[in-house]
Amino acid sequence: MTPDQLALKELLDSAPLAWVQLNPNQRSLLRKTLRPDGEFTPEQRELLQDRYLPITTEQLAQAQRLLLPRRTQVNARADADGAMWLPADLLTDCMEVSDTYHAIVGLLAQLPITLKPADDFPAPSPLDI
Amino acid sequence: MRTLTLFDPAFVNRPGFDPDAEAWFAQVEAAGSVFAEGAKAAYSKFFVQLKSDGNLAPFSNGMLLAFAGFSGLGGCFRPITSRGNALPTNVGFVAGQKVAAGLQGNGSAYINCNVGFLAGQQNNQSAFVWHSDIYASPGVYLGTGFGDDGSTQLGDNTLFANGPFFRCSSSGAISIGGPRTEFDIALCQRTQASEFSYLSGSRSGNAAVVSQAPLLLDVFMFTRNSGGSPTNPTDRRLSLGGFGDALPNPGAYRTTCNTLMTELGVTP
Repeated sequence: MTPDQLALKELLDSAPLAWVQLNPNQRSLLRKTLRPDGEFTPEQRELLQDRYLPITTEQLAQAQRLLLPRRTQVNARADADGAMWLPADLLTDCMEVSDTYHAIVGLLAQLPITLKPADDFPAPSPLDI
Repeated sequence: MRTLTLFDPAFVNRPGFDPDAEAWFAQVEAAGSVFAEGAKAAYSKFFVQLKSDGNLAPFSNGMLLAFAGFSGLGGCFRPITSRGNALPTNVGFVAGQKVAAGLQGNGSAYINCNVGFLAGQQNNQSAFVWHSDIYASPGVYLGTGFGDDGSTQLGDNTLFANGPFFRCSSSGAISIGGPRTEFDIALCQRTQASEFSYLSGSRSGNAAVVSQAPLLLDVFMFTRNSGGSPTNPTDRRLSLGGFGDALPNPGAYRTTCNTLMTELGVTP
C-alpha cells in the first residue's frame, strides 16, 4: 500500500465512515484504490477484508424489489446478534453507470464502511451443512 | 459467393472447436468475458469428452456453470447447459471476485440457478462443485433444503480426512459443504431409492439413505437454499458447479474436469 492508502485504511479502521462522509480527496483515493481492473489486487483485498456495510431489512427489501434489475440481487449476512451486513465489495461495482450495482449506489454511499472481524459472524457447524 | 478451399487461410486457421462449445463461447463473450489463451481449446475438448461419456446431457435437466479460464464476471452466469435455457441470478458477486481460476466467494454472494430438482427426480439426481482453493472453514458450496430436517450426513471429516461434507435430507435435497483441503471435485448422486454415492477427489463411497420426493426449491451455488434464503454461504473459490440427472460415469466426469482444470492452469 502507498502511504496515502495506508492512511485511508487506518482512518477506516479507527471508526466507521460512509462514502458520503469522506472528503473529495479521500473519495478519489478510495475510488481509485477499489476500482477493480480485472480481479482484486492484494491492496484491494487488504482494504476490503472484513469490511461490511450495515443494512436494515427494509433497505434490503427496497434494493431488491424496487431498484436492482432482474437477475441481480444483493444478499446480507447476519452477525451473531442478528444485525444484517453487506460486504463492502459492493462499493467496487456500483460507482459507474455500467456497474452491476449502480442502481443502489445512492443507498450504498450512505452506509458506514465498518470493520467486522470474521469472529463476529457465526461459523456454521458441519450439522448446518 | 465465396468458397473456402482447403488452402484458404480462413479454413486452415479455423480452430475446429466443438459446435456446442462455440455456441457457449459466443454467449460468454456476449456477456463481456474474454477467454484466456488456450482456454477455448481446453473447453472444446471438455465438451467433446463430456458428450462422448454421456456426461453432458444430465446437466440439461439442471444447470452446469463454469467459472475458470476467462476474465470478466458476466460469463459466470452463462450456463454451458440448463433446463429450458434458464439463466441464473447473480446475488452479490462483484467484478473483482472473478479470478482466473474461478469465482471467489465472500461469505455472502451466491448464485440462484433459478431451476432445481423436479418431482420424481429423487432417484436420478447429481450435484457437484470443483474447488480451487485450500481452506479449513466450513461453508456450503451448493444445495437445496434445510440442515435440520432429517438430513443424513453422507461424508465427513473422519471419512474423508478434511474432505467435504455431503448431506442428503430425508426429503431428497442435496447439499455439499466444506472444509476441504485439496483442489478437486466433490460430487454426490443417486441412481436408486436406497443409496447415495459420492466422490471426494479420488475417494468414493456409498451411503444408505432412503429417498423421498425432492424439495422443489431452486438450487443455489456458493450456499444452500433454505426455504428461499441462503444459509452459510462460503467464502471460498469454485471453478465449476452443476446439478441435474445422475451421471452415467462419475469417475470419468472427474477425470474430464481435472483435465480441463489442468489445461486451464488451475493448480495449487
